[in-house]
Amino acid sequence: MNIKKRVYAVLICTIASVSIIVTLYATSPISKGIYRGTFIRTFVKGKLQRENALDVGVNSFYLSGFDHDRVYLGNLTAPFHLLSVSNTLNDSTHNKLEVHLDSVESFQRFRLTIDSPYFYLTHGGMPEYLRGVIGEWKATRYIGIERDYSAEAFPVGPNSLILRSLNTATKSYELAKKSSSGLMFNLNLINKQIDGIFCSDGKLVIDKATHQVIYIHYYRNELIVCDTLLNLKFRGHTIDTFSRAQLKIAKLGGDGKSMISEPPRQININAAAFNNVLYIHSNILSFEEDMHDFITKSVVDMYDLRDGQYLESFYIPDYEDIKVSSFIVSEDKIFAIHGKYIVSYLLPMN
Amino acid sequence: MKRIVPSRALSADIICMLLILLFVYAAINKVMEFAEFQAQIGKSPLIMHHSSWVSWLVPSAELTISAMLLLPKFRIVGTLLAFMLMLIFTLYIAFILTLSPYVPCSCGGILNTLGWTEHLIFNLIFTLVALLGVFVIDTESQNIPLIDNTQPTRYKVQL
Repeated sequence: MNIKKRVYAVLICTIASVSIIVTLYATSPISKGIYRGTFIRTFVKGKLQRENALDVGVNSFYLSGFDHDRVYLGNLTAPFHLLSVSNTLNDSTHNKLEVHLDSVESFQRFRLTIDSPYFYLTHGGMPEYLRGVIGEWKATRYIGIERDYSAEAFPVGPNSLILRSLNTATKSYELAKKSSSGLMFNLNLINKQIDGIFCSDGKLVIDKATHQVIYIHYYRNELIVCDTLLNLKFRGHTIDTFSRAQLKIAKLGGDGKSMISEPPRQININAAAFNNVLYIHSNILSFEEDMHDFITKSVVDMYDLRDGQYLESFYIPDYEDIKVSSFIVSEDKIFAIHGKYIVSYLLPMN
Repeated sequence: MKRIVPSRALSADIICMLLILLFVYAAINKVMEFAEFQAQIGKSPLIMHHSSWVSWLVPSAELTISAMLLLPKFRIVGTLLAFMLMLIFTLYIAFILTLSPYVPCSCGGILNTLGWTEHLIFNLIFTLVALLGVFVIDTESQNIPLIDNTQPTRYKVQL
């Protein structure tokens, strides 16, 4: 190899080295820049104790609910398939749900919810509400179709559902209660700020122990606490300072469709509630918080549902390098989904 | 008076030896405390999500390059790859020192006692050593095996 060739080879190696480091940087979470808030978290003493973990094979299972001794998981790709796991995650049983339907479009949109002694199957796009008894696994229609109103549905009792849907006329999410006596809206709960569609989007959770309905905005720090009749109890705020949704909306063409033109600053990722405590997986790094902890774990802030006061925070660490995607909270445990794993943690005392 | 001046071949041998020593030592260190190594690079802001495969790739690369440096036929490619690997390490440390929002803990072994700045200088020196190696290895001398002592003419003795 002559000298000229070696010089070229060295140059190529240099370019390759630089590209590797640049690629690593570009794909690393720090290149996106992490916004640091001015608020302060206080963390519970000690780490969250992992109790058990179970590999359920695929990542399409989601948490549907629990009863006194079992946790139930629905499946996104097979909506009539149910996985029942003991609450110690030691045994699991697969069940096939028996569903009698004439014809339903896109049956994959059915979602499973557990509210002992019943399980519920609700279709987000059509007014289909099915119910069956846990253990019998036969689902039948149980609330008549009053009008063509379809929504994401959350059972709050044997004959009542809380519905969340996007009103295409006002372009805002709205909440309603559906029961055997009919459909009742409370349109004063969710207020839109910018475009409606994104700025009013949020997560609805039910505290089954205290019969409360909580709506947590994804893009601003507001949370709405109601009873199961949708009477407003109070509006609270998460500890970050985003009282207005931080969105830039681009209008596409003349059909009025909007898209988020920049990566949205989602502040609240996920939530769960049990026994007057609200658990919110936050996306905002706090003042003086360790950035590495924040990147490799998921921070959960706890709030008192009686007055909206912030209590304390804890981390759910990644399991097998997979972030927690969703979780539910029971009397003494947190059940979390990390990809194809369901993991149980002991609830930190507060 | 006789003065022994290292020839090009001798310099090449010394450079290769140094690089082999460094790489084999570093690789053994990583493999011996693999779990610890994996955990540490997992904390690095640059590697983080890639830690599972990077933790295998780095020691394998170090051992493969060492083997190449032992085989005369692959010595030039070996020094080139050694240069590239050392340059990656150097750039990585330079990044940690300048752009990273936080500094993770250092690598294991003897290098653990070095701070990040010392580590950067150490790596920079070895990058230059490898670069020198690329140019001092003779195409002819490549045919002379490093561990073969049957060819004493490799070292010139000057008067």
